[in-house]
Amino acid sequence: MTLRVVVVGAGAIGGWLAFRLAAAGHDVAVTARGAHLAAIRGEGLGLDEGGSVARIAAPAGEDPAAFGPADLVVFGVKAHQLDAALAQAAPLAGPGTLALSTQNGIDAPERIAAAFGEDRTLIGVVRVSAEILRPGVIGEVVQVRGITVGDMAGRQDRAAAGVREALRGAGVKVPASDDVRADLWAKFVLWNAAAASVAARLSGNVAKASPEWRALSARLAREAVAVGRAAGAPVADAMAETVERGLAEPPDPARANIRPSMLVDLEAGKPLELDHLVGRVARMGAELGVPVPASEAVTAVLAPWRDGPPRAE
Amino acid sequence: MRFATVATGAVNGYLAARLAEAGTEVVCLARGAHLAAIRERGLRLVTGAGETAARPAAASDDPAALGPADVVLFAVKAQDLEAAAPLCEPLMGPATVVIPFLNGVEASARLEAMLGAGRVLEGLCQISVFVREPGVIRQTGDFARFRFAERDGTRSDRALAIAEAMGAAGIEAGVPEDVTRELWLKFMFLATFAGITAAARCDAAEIRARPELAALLADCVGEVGRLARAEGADVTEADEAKALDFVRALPDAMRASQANDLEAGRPLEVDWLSGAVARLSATHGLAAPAHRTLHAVLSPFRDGRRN
Repeated sequence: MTLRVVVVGAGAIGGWLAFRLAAAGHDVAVTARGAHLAAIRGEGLGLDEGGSVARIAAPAGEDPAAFGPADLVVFGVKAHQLDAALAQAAPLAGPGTLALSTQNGIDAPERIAAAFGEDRTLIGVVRVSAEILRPGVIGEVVQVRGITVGDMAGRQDRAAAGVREALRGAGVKVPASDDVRADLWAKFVLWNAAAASVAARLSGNVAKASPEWRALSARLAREAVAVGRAAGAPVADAMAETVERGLAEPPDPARANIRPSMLVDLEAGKPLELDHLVGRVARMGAELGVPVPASEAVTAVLAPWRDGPPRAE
Repeated sequence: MRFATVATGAVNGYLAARLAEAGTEVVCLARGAHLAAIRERGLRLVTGAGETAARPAAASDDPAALGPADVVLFAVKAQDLEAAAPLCEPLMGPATVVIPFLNGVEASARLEAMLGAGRVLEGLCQISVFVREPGVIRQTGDFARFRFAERDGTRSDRALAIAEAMGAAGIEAGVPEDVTRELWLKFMFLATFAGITAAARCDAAEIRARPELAALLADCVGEVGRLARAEGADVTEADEAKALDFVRALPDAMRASQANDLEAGRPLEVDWLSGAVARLSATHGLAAPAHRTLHAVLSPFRDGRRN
């Protein structure tokens, strides 16, 4: 079945999904801005695979409302851009419309659900790395574990089933999961550990040579698990242990270029998803009475950079 | 009274320049282009008030060539202490006393462990100064205070005599009522301000503007206050409030030299600042998560630039 898909925010992940779905024959429109939008309008949306760029033609604009209604709305914007995107995307919702989150952090699905409805919202847990190589062209795609998709109850049958099938048919890895909410939290814990990398402004594969840095990263993972458990979220202590096992592995110089996306944004002078990642752990700790001093301190040292470089830079 | 400087960086360069200018005998341990410049043109000191130039009695990269001194002024980066301490030995006779002017709270104990009991005073300085070019010391700001006493706080005759000799050379030197308290008050500010401005790559204005950083500042100051009391220093919560007020009153663009060192890829004193707060707190069963986090964030850079 051909789906009418609107990708709101055709950045690295959103653009890659738009390309895949369009190439599989779905009817895809995208939103973007600036030079990236101009390039998509002029030449189509490109995907660089091993140096050769394939392109698809997709209607593109700044305002998603121009493309509605849709069967599937994929939110590809950053977590801190989601509220503005949701306000614009409201007209896309028809009686059968599903909305898919792809954001880092744990709060995007509930924010989308507030606009599209609980039963119309799907959680997407993205474990894919990709980049905008240049305006209009996505590349460097590595489908680490693909995208885990489920509904707000964590289930993969019912509403999630059709979208999973469409994604799989488009060449996207869509792993099975007993509870997608647990996957969302597992990634959140990992990303809290990775905040140590952002604060040090180093790839974990370089920073982990320092024992104090490794201890901080492990502490951040434990703090995220602790707030999750206090909040009643489906998060297991085993997640922190997984992080510690990864930290115990020796640094891999071949992976020294792998950086968390928040560090990539920091180095590019872009706004940070701070309040949705480690800043969210800090805030939950305060709300729930769970001590999270490492998350607070890491949030604090990144705070001047939240909206881009501070005035002094 | 014969002074020696080990080594002759910014702080000791200031002291040697003042002593030499006043005609007090001072010998300088230095090396490379800095040594050549001192031998050729003496030490130039540039301050807001003007410029002086004076030749020390001797300058060498070999401490044995400088002969014994009555007082060794010891100022190096905290992480270089163990490597530099043996350079004092050829300068020491039976009554020679060594005064450290280092960042951190552990320098005198570390030096005493290497040079022997009774040979080392407790010392601290408050000065903003750097080596502008070989042989030239630049003082910024209008304060330059040097404080020292016996390690147990005693205001000994020898400490008073040294302070008098330094004072006669125009140096603001003194033997305070409670040197341990002064050391910890300086450390409370320095460890905190150095840790935050380096880890957050920010200046004093950002600390004031961001509630998260203001909270981190208060946490860090509180951790040092608790540690100081556990170590037996007379540091109160009122002192913590004063330290916070002090940071709030700093010029907008102010940041610690550790932030500059980080940016320039130079080694950091972090193991002896935030790292010391974390390490010493643990020995008293105290948690110091704020300083421990700052230490962890900066620790990959302790030996200088990383890529």
